[in-house]
Amino acid sequence: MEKIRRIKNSLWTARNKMGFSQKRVARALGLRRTSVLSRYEHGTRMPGLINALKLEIVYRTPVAFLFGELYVELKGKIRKREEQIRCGKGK
Amino acid sequence: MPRKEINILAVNPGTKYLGLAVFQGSDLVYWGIKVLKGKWSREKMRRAEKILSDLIDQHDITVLTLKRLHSSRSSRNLNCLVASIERLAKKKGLRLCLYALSDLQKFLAPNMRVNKLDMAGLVAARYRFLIPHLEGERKHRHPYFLRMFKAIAAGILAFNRLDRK
Repeated sequence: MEKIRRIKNSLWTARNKMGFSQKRVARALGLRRTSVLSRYEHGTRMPGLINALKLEIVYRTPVAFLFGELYVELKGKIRKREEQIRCGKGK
Repeated sequence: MPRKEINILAVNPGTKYLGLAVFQGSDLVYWGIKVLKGKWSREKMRRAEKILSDLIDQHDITVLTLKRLHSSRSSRNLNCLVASIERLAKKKGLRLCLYALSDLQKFLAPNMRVNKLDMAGLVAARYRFLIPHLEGERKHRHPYFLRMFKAIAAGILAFNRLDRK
């Protein structure tokens, strides 16, 4: 069976630091069930832009901090690509 | 050269309740109690090992901290569990630190004699978001979250000792 790539995040930590339950956050996000939020926390599902921004508002934490590892990974890739573009232009 | 961050998994072992805490540097990112239901068996020990193994992989743990058991509190099964945790640390190439309750108490309150609940209060003062757990603990007749607070205290102590080096 193919293993799902889990995306690490700090959603569990952020929620528990605020002392919120999954039910409360799901309601704030306008979700009917907590299962979606649980999947976000486990990293098996990624929130869309609207829900990511909603999470930022609820947890009072920037999205970049909520998905710190992904942010660092993407930043590294983009900086590398930028460097390649710059080197390409220089030639 | 930037220093590699210390990721600590602190465990307060028990045959039924495992107190757990994960630190990324000084930041507490995971805390809780894992309940191992049922009578003691190999399967139960495997379940405990799996819980710890998953946490180690999930948080890229580099240091495993254990609360050392008091000789009066140890049992054959508990010793067995501790030995298996130590084996797991060795297998995963983690640095292992053992601290007794007295070490934790001395570290958190060097000039005072504190009991376990006071110690939990000192931990909650550092991490304010743990206060609801402490309030709940004060209402409980039997200790539950105290195990988690002890694990957190062990993690704080490990971070302070390792960060100084």
